[in-house]
Amino acid sequence: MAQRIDIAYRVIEGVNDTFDVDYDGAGALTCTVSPGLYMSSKALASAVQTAIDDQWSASASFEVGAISDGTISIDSTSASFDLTWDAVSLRNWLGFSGNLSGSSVYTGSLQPGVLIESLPWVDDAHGWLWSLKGINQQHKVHISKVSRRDLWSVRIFETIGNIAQVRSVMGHLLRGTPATWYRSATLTAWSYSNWHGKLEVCIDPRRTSYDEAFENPNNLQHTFSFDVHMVAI
Amino acid sequence: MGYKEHVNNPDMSLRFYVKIQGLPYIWLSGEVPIAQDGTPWLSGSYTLVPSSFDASDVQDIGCNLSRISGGASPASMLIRLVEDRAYTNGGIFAWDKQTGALANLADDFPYETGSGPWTMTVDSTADFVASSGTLYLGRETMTYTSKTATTFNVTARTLYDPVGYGDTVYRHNSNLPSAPRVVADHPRNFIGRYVQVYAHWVTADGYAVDDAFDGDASFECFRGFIRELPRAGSDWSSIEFEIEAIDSLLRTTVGAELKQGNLSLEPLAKWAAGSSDTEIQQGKFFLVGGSSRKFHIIVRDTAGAVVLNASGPNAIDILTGTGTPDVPPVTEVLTEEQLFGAFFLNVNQVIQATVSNLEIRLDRIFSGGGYEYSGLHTSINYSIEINHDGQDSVCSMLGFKGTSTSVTNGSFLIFASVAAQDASASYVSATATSIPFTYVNDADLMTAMAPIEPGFAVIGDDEEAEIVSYQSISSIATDVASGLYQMNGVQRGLMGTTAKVHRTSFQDDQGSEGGADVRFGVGVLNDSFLLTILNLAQSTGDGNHGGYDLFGVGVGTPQAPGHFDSASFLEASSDMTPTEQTVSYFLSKPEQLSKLCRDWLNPVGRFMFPRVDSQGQYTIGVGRQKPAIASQSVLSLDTTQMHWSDPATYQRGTSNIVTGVTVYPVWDFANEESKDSVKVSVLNTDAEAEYGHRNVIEWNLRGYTIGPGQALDLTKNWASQLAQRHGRGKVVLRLTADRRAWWANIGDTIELTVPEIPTPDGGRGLVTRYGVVENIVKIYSGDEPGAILTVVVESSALTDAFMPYAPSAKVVSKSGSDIVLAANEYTESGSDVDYFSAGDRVVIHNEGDYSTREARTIDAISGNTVTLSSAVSLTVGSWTAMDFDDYASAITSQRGGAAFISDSAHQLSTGDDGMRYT
Repeated sequence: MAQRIDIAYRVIEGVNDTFDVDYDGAGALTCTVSPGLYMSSKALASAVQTAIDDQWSASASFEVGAISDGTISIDSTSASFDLTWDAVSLRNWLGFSGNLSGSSVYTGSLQPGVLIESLPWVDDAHGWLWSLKGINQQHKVHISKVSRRDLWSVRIFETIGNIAQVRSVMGHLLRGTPATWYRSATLTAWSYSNWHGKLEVCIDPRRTSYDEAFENPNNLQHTFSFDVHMVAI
Repeated sequence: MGYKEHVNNPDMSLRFYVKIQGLPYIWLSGEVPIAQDGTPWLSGSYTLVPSSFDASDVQDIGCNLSRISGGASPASMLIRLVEDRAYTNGGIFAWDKQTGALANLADDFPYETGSGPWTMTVDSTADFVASSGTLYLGRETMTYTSKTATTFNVTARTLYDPVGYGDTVYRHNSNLPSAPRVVADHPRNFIGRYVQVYAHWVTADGYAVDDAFDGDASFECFRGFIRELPRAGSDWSSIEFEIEAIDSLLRTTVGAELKQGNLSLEPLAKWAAGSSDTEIQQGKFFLVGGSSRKFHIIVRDTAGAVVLNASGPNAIDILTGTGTPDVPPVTEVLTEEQLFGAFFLNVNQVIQATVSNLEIRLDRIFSGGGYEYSGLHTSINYSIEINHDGQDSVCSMLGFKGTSTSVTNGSFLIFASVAAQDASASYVSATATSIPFTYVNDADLMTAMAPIEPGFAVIGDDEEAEIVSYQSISSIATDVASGLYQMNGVQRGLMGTTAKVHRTSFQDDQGSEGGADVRFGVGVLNDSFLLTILNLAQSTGDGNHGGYDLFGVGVGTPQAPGHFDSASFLEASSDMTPTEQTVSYFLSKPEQLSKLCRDWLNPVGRFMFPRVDSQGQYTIGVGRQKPAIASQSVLSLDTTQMHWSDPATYQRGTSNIVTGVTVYPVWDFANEESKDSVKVSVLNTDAEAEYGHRNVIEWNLRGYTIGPGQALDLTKNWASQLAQRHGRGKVVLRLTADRRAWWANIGDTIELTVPEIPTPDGGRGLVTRYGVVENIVKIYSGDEPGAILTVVVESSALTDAFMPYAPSAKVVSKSGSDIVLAANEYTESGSDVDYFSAGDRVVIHNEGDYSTREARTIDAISGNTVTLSSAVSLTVGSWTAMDFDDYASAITSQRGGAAFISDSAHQLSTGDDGMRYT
């Protein structure tokens, strides 16, 4: 089952919502991404495309999308264009390392907030946690359920070469950033009757760390695994 | 975007930094923040110390307010600054350095008034850097650009002082215990510096939302004063010190121990007559001043025609005669002989300008030592009328009374005489605007300050006491005697006292009792106590603290105005009637500011507490004790905000029950205490019957000058509200919430939904219930940022549901089933329509004609346009109103938090806190 985790990205008005695009030398125009929390790189890429289209749809048909390897491409589908970032944070999350110029299509070099399955992920157990309040006296027990959270845990196996990417994504999660967990290739919505689909999660607030374990301590060249406990938001 | 906006974004978090008054450093919880455009924040004139502030436990535990006493215990925080390899913090906080330059101030150094430069005079500047450098005086940091052997040319002051007004004054050789006296090239004094703990928002990737320090997305989550010497932490690689929240400054005393005076002339007599007691008997001195320098005389001929009218406004000034009178009248100290001489010279000068050869004398009676007026005209018979009781008459001082009339007959005549014991050494009439006095020569008061100018004083004791104000005090020493002073520009009989005649007999002067005591002090006449609190807290005596710097040197604390949210004081002031807040008071000895605040604020249901204000600054503001008001709910707490595992715990609900209030409404200004004999007691007998005798609150109404009847009404109103509100046991819950509760404060109303929790009504679950925050602990860092709130949940009974006013709106126009409402006919913020919702049952009627109301249901609301269930037929007049329908017709959601008018006449009650179901 194909799986990936996309860290959410927040666009804040007046803080990290703008960049400048100069299409075909016509002069730079400021493009503004609608503020909000984008739960995946795909969603953010779509918003970036909308922002460019708001300024340049009469001149070109830009395509901004998340490529399957987690990188993002920005394509004018025609003439070359320049793009200048106002916010490093927006640039970094889209996977670019600098301003763009001289080409009609650019592809990000990084996937800073995307963890894509490279080895099977297992034990994606699902459960419900009820918070209980009650008294426990002799011959008398009363318990009330006061709140419920949907819990998920997954053991992720990864290659050693992907460790930096894992730690980047986990760094976001541990800071409290929510994420979208795609649990199948179909990307349909998750439901209680269908455990595939996508799920919006954050790390279990009671777990503020995670452990990496190497599968074979005697041979650190191959794989490692880690457990992530998440709750549906 | 404000600092509050990001709290709902769970992916965003906080970083912290710390500033300390007067120190050129910013301690950061992590690395130097980087803005969204990738630019590190600029340090400005500060030096940044990265990863030095241990932010693992940043929390504001909030102050605890006592409902009983009105007192508040300030919160505190332990600041831990982690050391680096360069031992930076150890160097900064070395308060007992053996190296570095020091000098002692040798002359006055002023507040930072004007643009400078300021000259600082010291004993020697030899150890300081020659050209320019930094100076640390007390808690102030300044720079100099040049120096001489004994002076610094200070060109910049109050550096690294974001709150402002941290300038230091030094008064050389004054009687004040003035500090500091030592200036250094390094900080030496840390206690008392304020510490600001700032938080700023960062996005999940660690970039800061702001692009510089103190931006809009930053807020000051705590400010306190260092109360202990910085010390090394147990790990020996950190510096620790405790800070107490800024409201701790209210515990300092205000007012001053001032020199005291006396109307007796004893010190004067000793000086003039020598130190031997036996000689005192021989000296007689008179204070001839504004109250005792006039002589009223009318001279008539034998036919009764007035020849000379030197009476009333034309009375003769015995000190100036025909000369120009002194303005204001000068008080002179005269021996007996000088008084007789001045009288003879000046009175006869005036008389003889009109009636030649008429001579009037004032003399001592040889036998018995009394005084007499005598006179002579050798040829013409004149009727001489002396009015002893005339305004400011010298006769009053000498003991004469009434009117004496005699007719000259060519021989020397005695017009009037008085016994020696009736004469006074000084006489101050009830209307005198200048009052002479001497300072008490009391060894215990040698270090006391001189009276404040302008100021207040109490003359006399107990029932004879009179409170006066004066504009200035001047020395009226003469060649005859020194040590005599005079209050000028005196207003008499203030603060409920009566203007009285004060006289000092010669026996008083020479006896041990002396004349009337004069107690100097601080006073306020008919001003709002809220503004008085600001003045007491901020006054410097030099007027350089802005608008609230009323009092003289040594009276105020004097704190920086930036520690107070003066806007909230003004807002509270505008909310209260003049009767509620206008006070006068006299203070002759230091008193704790917090006690004054409690006495003034508690009866009117106000309190002072520190919190993050609307500008993101941690300041002291004024809160209000009030019932939960649904429409003013600042926070809605349900399971999405509350901690999963332990959301709510019951606390004791009867420990703060108030079963009675005793108010002492009459303040004895002169004795600076309440009159025990007058009190108003409000007892909640129902509460006493149910809970037994519990807390009875005592309020001493300090400084009110209201009549007994008004006091009774006012205090009954206040006390009834309190007894009613706190006369029953309460549901008190301790709630753990996430960080969305950070912006709630003590006294705020919050809305609660706690499913499944057992309730006192026998059921389970609180749904959309309202409570008032009694205490809130704000946890800004650590594993579980959030807040722990102690909330008093209002009773479920609808009788305890309050709203600030009966929801009303003015109808401006109608069109079909739509009516348009005026935006702010009944509200100041938001709009009137905010208090209505779709589904509400309302009535539309014209003013004065409630009987022809039309009841409708609100179908929809858009802006100020309300769509009703059907069109109303009445014509929209000059004043057409929309109100909630009667209680019986209203829907449940209306009943839950709204106020209703229950009777058919649509009468409103007059309670301050809005309308209630009746």
